[in-house]
Amino acid sequence: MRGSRDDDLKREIQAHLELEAEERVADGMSPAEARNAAHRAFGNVLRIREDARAVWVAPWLDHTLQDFRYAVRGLRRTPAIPVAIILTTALAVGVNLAMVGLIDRALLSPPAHIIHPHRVFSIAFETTGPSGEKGLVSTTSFLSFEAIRTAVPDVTPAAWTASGTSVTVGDQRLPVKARAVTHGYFSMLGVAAHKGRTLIADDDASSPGAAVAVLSHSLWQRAFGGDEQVLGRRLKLGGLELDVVGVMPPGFSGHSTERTDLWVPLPTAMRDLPGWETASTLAFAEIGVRLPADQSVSSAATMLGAAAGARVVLFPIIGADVAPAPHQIAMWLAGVSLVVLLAGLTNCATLSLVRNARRRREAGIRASLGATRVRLAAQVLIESAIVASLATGVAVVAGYWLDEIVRRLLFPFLIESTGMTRRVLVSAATGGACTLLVTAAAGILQLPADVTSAELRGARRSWRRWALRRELLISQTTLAVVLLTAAGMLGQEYYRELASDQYARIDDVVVAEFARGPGSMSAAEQDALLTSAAERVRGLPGVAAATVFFVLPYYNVMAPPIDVPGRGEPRVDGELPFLIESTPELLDILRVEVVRGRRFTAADGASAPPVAIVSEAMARTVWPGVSALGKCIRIGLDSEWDPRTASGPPTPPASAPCREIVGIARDWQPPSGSPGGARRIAHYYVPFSQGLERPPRMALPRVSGLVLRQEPGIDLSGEGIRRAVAGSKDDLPLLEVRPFAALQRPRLVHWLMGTKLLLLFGALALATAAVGIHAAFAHAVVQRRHEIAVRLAVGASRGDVLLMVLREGSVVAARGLVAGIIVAILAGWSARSLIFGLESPGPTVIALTGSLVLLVATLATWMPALSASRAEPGVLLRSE
Amino acid sequence: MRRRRARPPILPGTLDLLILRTLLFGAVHGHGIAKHIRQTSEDVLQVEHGSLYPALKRLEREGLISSGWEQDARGREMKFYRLTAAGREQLTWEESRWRQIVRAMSRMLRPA
Repeated sequence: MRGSRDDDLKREIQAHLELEAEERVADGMSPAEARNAAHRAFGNVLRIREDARAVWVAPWLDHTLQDFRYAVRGLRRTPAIPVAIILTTALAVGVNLAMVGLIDRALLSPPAHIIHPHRVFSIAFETTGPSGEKGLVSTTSFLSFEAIRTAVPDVTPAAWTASGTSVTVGDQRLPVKARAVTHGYFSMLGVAAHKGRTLIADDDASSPGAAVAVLSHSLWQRAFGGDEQVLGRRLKLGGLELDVVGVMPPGFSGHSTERTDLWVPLPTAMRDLPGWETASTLAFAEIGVRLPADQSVSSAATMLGAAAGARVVLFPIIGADVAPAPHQIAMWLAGVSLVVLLAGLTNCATLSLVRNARRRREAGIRASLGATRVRLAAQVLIESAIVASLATGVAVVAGYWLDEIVRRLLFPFLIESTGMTRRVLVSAATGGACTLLVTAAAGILQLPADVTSAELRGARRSWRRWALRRELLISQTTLAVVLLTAAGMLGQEYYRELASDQYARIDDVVVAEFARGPGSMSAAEQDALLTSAAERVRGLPGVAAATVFFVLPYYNVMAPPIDVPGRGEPRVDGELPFLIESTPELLDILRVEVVRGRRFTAADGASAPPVAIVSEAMARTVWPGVSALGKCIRIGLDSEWDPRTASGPPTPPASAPCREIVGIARDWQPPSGSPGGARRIAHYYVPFSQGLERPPRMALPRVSGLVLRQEPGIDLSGEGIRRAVAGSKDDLPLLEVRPFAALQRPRLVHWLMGTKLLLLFGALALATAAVGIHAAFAHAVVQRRHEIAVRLAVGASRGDVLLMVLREGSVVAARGLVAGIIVAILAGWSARSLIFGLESPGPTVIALTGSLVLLVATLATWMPALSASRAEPGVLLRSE
Repeated sequence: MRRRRARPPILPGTLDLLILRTLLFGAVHGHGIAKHIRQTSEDVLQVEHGSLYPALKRLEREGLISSGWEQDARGREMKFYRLTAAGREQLTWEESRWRQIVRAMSRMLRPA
């Protein structure tokens, strides 16, 4: 626009000058003379053009545009440092955007698409434990849901239950998170379908043969490729064919921010559990309500409590489903990502200082040509603005990817990001503003205070500026070291815990279980499938042993009524001992040490005399002073026992046989660092084939999963085990394959997750610092070429020069290292209340971090050092 | 070379009037305007090109004149300016104001 007007004016003035010259030629001048005279008469063409231009463009805008073009030209001429600034800052800001996005989704924002989310609550019911302690449970029976639905219909109650499962679409099998819901679920949330419809009352009543499903937007994309004609297509879930009747809007995850892919009617999901609607003891349903605008939370709680027959507590859905531990993790992540931001901005400052130091000469020339300081500062500001906005743009993209990476790594249960939230936008703007501030400050700081000839020659060296840059480099290194040391501290905890107790010995044990929930098999099917699968899995390469299990120590529980003839019900530390039905292989796989007596053998079959092995603690408590070997216990569930009429705790039925104790096993210690410090529990074992008789009406499985031990050094893939278990069946729920040690101790998993994430961030910060060190040293070497040339000329060897530069790099790295480790130790101390058991970094961690940082610093200074050592003193000294 | 005598510059604020007046009789290019002013003032008023072009751009922006590239009598591409309706109105106004100023000035300068 401006360009065309300007060209137009240029052409017009040109025509004017030609005409003027022609007239003078007509007056008798020579053409050359006439042209000169015309120019003289016209005056300063440039100034006139400027003045004319000022008519249509305000001068400040004109300057800004000029500066903008000048800045773009400058950035394109020497792109290396600006690109480095943009990329490193974008990564640092991106990490923070990702964290803000994750924390916002998990804790701060209500789940997407819910109308008036502050009116929606989930319900918890107060329960009373055996010793009178009060607790809250979030699940209840369908009966009590029906009671609420009938008594308080105007709070739109809905019930749901959920879990992982898998669906088959065509020949594609996908793990999904499904939720079984009553039809009122969607009206409780006030959300409509994106395509098709949500669930209606008829769906609850329909026969299992006509079952329907509503898809999440992301499952629609993944499983059906976003097919517009998806309504009416089918997917297989468990043994059922489901008709797709609707697709929810993008980002919708139901009442929580937990990722959910599929919604099916509750009756469809529960079809394998006869009597689920009427059983008062089957507590599986979670309940949510939407309060009318005029109803207070307390009055609603009273009404709901009266209907449910228990005191109830309403929980807002914002941040619900997020346990306190993730809260803490989130706050930690936020803190760590702030350190990354700080490292990025420090690097941004270093690089900007280097860039502007290189351009001091240019600024000097412009100043001597009449540019005011304000004009030069404006120039710096515009260039910084360009860099900052590019960095922010890249950061937004990087943030989106990092969000997904961290989500998959740490919070796989959380819904994917579907775009920028207001908080992320504000953070991006803040990050951009910080970048602008830092780059602009670094630039304006370096503007020549006055124009000296020395400045123009570029000869003056400012030690003050180099010192500032060096301090920045040290700070950058410090921040990287803090993150790496913190990673090391968590990693060292991980290995220490792994090595510290008996679970370390079963580190090679893997547990495979079907995810429960909609589409799961009947108990009998599951028993048959897993029993035959144990055989197939045993044949897999890398599997040393495999067997079925129902209960594992400190993992799940079974404490049936037990009776010791002559002593009544035994209690160890106030608790009933827990039963583990165990094949002979299970004792081996779990490395249960039998200290006296014998282990189980294949001969302990269903028709053999019943036997048992008890733990040392149980033997000591129940039979004090005498050997438990040869003694007898009786266990069993009495189908006649009724809590309403019973006078005492349930006892084994009279028909329960006497099981002879044939062995005494080492106790299982509670896993270290269990939340709240798990109580020690006494265990006893009976042969799997002599297991507890299940009451027929409950249709419970006998086998809950497979437990297997892998060959040393082999990492079994879940997929191989899955294939071996499923065979040709394609309608099974997802088989979850996880290491037992990790299941035992979620803390271990946290250590490992934290280590991975801090390593990632630390590596990021270290790479950033390396970029800064490289740029600063490259510039310093150029600035000091005169000094280096003199050194070479007076006899220093090239090796001396190389070493001199490398040594300066190491000094920076070493100072950063020391500061970083001190900060990490102090941070560790202050975080001890948050992270129980965190120790100061050991020598291994310090040595590893130290050598890594020194190595990176050496690599970063290597090229500048090399170019310094290759300087030609003759050439350089002549040119100065 | 012909020697020129010093000529008074145009009074401030009158250049616009002179340009509009020049364009009253038809489209003229920049050089023509400068020449016309000089000639009709019998070489007394010298238009500084430095002020002519900014003035033209300003008048154009204010919508008093319009411009376009046209061929002159000798086939050269020149930018021609012409008066718009608003310019014509402005000219009437400026002229009457100018006459008032001239009347006031001559009264003051007349020996009492």
